[in-house]
Amino acid sequence: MRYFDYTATTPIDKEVLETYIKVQNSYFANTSSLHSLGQKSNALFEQASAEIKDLLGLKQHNIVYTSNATEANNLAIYGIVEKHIRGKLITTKIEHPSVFEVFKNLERKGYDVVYLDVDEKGIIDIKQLQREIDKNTILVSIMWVNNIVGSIQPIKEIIKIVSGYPKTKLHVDAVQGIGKINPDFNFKDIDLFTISAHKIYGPKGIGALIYNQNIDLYKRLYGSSAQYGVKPGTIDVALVVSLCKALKKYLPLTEEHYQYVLSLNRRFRSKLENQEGIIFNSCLKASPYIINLSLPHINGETIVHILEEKEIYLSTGSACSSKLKKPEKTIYNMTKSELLATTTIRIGLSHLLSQTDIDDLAQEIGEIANV
Amino acid sequence: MYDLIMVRYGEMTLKKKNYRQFLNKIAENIVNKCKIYPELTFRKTDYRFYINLNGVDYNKVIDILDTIVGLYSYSLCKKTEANYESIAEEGIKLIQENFCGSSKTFKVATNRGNKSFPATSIEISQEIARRILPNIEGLKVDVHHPDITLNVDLRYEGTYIFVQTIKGLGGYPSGIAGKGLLMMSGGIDSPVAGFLTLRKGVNLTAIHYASPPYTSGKALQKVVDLLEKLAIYTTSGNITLLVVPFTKIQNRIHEQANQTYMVILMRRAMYKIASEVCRKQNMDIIINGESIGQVASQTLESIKVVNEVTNIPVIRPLATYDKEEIVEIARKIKTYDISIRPYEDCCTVFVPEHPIIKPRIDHVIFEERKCELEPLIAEAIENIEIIELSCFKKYFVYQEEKFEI
Repeated sequence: MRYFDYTATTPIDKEVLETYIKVQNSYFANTSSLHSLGQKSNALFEQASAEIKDLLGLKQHNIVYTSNATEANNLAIYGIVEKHIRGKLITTKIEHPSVFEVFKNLERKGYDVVYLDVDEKGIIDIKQLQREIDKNTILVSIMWVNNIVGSIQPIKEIIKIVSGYPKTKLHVDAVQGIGKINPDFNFKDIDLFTISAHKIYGPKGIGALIYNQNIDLYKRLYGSSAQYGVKPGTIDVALVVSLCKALKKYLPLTEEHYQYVLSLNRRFRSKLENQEGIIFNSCLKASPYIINLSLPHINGETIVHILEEKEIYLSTGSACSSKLKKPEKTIYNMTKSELLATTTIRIGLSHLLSQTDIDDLAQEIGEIANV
Repeated sequence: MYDLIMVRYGEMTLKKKNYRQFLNKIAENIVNKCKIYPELTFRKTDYRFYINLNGVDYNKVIDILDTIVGLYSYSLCKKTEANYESIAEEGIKLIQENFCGSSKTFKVATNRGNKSFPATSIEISQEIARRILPNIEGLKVDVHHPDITLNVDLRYEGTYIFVQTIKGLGGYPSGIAGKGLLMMSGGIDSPVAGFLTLRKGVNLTAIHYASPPYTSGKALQKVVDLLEKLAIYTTSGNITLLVVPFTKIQNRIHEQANQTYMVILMRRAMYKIASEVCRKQNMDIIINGESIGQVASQTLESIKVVNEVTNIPVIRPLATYDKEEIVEIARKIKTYDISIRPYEDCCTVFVPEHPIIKPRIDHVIFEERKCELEPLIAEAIENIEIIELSCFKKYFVYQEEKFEI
């Protein structure tokens, strides 16, 4: 079996799994219990949060653990927007559904939503943001690394622009960037951002919304005061510690893995770049972890099924939206071509892959394109 | 990207004759705390203190400066050559780095300490502004209410430019004012009172009243954790904690006295112990987090009958603060989240349903006599436990094995 869908999810790291089991066994008590066993759980929970903050260079941020990044994105956006009856919201045309669909819903509720365009590289025009943002803007939500093509948004410049509007909050979906790319910005300058454990060899079932503690989020859920009241309910300390463990193990390796995956990426491209019938949608400046391409005469889903016969696994578009048979919106917005947007496949790379894996994949895809 | 940090001193510029002493103390505090970065070099002038970064991340130095009391403000500076070209060139970069969407206007302010520079400060400002203006899109000059001010500091020792002035903690240098004993319950108020006193240069020792088994080791751990946060603001990073065994006194009051006087009697006993400790250890003041009217024992009448047991000055930095103001400071010094941990402390066990809010001194003394507390107080003082705390090393009341993530 060869797995090329690391963008959708990653297998759990052995050490992270061991940590999970150990904590699940010994720290099962409820973090809210007053007895010393509960307090032991709570101390470990707080230790994990403190270590995560240290790893990300944060001091003034709260961490709220959620079931996944989708939940975190929802809590972040609704948490900010529902404090206001009306106002302007800015996002992009290529967000993950967990952001995009939230804005669609807010638009229906009467908020003024601006969807920024992207160029053929999948990157927003910073000048358009500058034009659109004004003092009535409540929230700007822009993803760091796009999950379909891997385009990297200029977060550093975005931070600078948004910081000129004290009432405007900035939300960044950092799921595909963290642990994979070293940021050229500081996380501490972002009002709210979201991460997920299972994209960086942690377990599924845990994501996090990390936000500046000066922000008072609107509470969507009612319950105890756990997790600042933003996400009340019993905390799974083992999942939280596993997220911490994954970050602790993989953040320091970011650069090393980046360089290696970059070499895999270039190797793959060099083999198929000049082949007819294959169009690379990801540009060279995109995250090396994601290669998106279209074989204009074959449906993306067909390719997925041809390859799975050979136990090679990859995705059309994003796993989260691929069950909807619609043109892929990121590719469509970049290329304005419905054909390219329905014939796209996404290869998610990892440091776990070898050069032979890459060569084999290139050969298989090359053969399909030749048919 | 910055070369040095310019530090301005605080309130002590008001003090004429002690000025030197204050200045040396604060310089010593800065140098001491910055020792962890041996690359840093320092220079002291009469009104300023310069830290040469020599490649150290300025954020790390700012983190240190934010723990030093007696600093008025500081600025991140860039060193340039003393000519228009390089000042304007570096100035453009600096403005662009700090230029955000809404800032549109700027001015240049020049301080010409280097009198050999062949122009007046106004001429210099104008010339630099003229050179910068066409290079940044959308920038206008506004000399009255600019969004950004580019400061040019021409000194004989070098030319520095900066745009931002960051406020420091203010107050007096640590350890300049004498010694005080801080009464710590573990609530929100007492750490804030301690911080405000530290900021005025007072050396602190803390006293805590523990009533096991009514209060748990967790309550003591809470006090320890709070003090470790306060220790950051001391010169040495250390604070001594005195733990008074208070159970017997509390039990006796509970058994003997009229319940409505319970809290008043307890506080009188605490004050007696604190003032005895002050006398023995030669401390000048007692500090606590009392705020007028906040609870029954903090009405003016109650404060009066409690205060009556001591002749050592009791400083109550929070006397006139509202709870929200206190919480705001508590959050800033990061004690709030510790303070709200849900453990009972000595003030919350045995609280009568209707404590007296206007106690009369003759009644108080009558109730107190019934309890015969003096021998118990002497015993408590005898058995005080001393814990040395440091902001560099965590102290654990219970040594639990730590989980390595």
